[in-house]
Amino acid sequence: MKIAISGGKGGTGKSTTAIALAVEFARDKKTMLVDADAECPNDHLLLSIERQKDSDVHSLIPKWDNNKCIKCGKCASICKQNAIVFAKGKYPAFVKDVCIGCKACIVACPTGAISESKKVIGTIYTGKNYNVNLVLGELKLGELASGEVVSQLRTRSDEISKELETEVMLIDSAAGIGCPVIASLVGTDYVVAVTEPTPSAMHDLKRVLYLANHFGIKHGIVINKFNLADKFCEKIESFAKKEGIPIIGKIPYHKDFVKSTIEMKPITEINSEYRIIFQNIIKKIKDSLK
Amino acid sequence: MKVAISSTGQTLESDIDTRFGRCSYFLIIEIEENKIKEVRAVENTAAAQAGGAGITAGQIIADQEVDAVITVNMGPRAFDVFNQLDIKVYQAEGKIKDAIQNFIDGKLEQTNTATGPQHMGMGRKEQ
Repeated sequence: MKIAISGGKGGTGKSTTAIALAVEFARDKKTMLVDADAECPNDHLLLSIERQKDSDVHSLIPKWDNNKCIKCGKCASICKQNAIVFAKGKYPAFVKDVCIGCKACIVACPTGAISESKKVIGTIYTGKNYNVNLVLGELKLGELASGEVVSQLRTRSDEISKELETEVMLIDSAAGIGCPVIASLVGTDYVVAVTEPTPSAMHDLKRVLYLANHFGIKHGIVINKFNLADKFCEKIESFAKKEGIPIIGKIPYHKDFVKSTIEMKPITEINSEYRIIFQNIIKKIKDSLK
Repeated sequence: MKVAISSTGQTLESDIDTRFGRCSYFLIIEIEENKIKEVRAVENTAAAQAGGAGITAGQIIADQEVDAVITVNMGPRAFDVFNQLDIKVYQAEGKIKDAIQNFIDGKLEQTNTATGPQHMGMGRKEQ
């Protein structure tokens, strides 16, 4: 079972929810949590895990064979990233860190002078606490392709999951709806869209639900901090009802969430009442996947 | 020999633009027998680019087939491009005509590293 935790807006409680769900799942199932917020991964901190490096994430880059290069400049003119600069009569100049590895230059080269090489664009780490097997990806600073890091993180997570024989995989996505989020959602069985009762969160929620719908993934809404704005919460609920999307959980705000973040412990360890709330969410997900 | 200078305007009376990738114009100056033979202004179409302006500006200059570039601040990417293309980078400030004279007289220093951080010219106005 693969469950993605997303939601659109930042700060709605995606990681808080992902961690609490992982810890609760792990009570009776071998569970893996994948932190796919490759630009700013935090789940290891929230679970008090000292992460260990697993492997590097690579991206393809071109490599020129100057014996074959005829200095025609076709590689530079095809490059959409402007990573290649051509000056008449000279070998092309290449700026590695803006290259996204699309291979267009390799295709465009008339003499086959460009071959595939690679550069490091990120790192995969692992760790374990509260019986949760954590795998996380981190984008190398200055690199652009966080979607690619997430995509390779997903592949590596599948391998590790097989080795560890985990039964449940939770994927904690980044905010937004861009490449890294899409890479987090694809191939999952369920999307938990975490939102909060604010107009901006609701706006972004609709965009994430559109994505989940587009990919044909079952989904449900968790309204976090629902008791901070009861009126607006009703608005989200009536929207969900109209669209036929289940609300699978409503999480009340409590200052224990602050304590949870500061003490780097899951909310369910700080305040056991929350265990029931997250167990209920798990039950609803399981029921809808039956 | 041909030299490109980051410029605030289109003539030799203009000042050197402190930003390389996001300067307003490049003056392309042709020097023959230690004298200025021709001056042309090329608009820097990379100036308002969201990112990678230095590299695009590098392509604009590469198209002009220059031998050297004179500017105040150049980021690491643009510097890397010129290094690979064997186009020399010199640092100078003030009026373009003075800088060119100093260049002809061999008084300008060649820079061997980037003189400004990446994205330094982003969102900044001419100074």
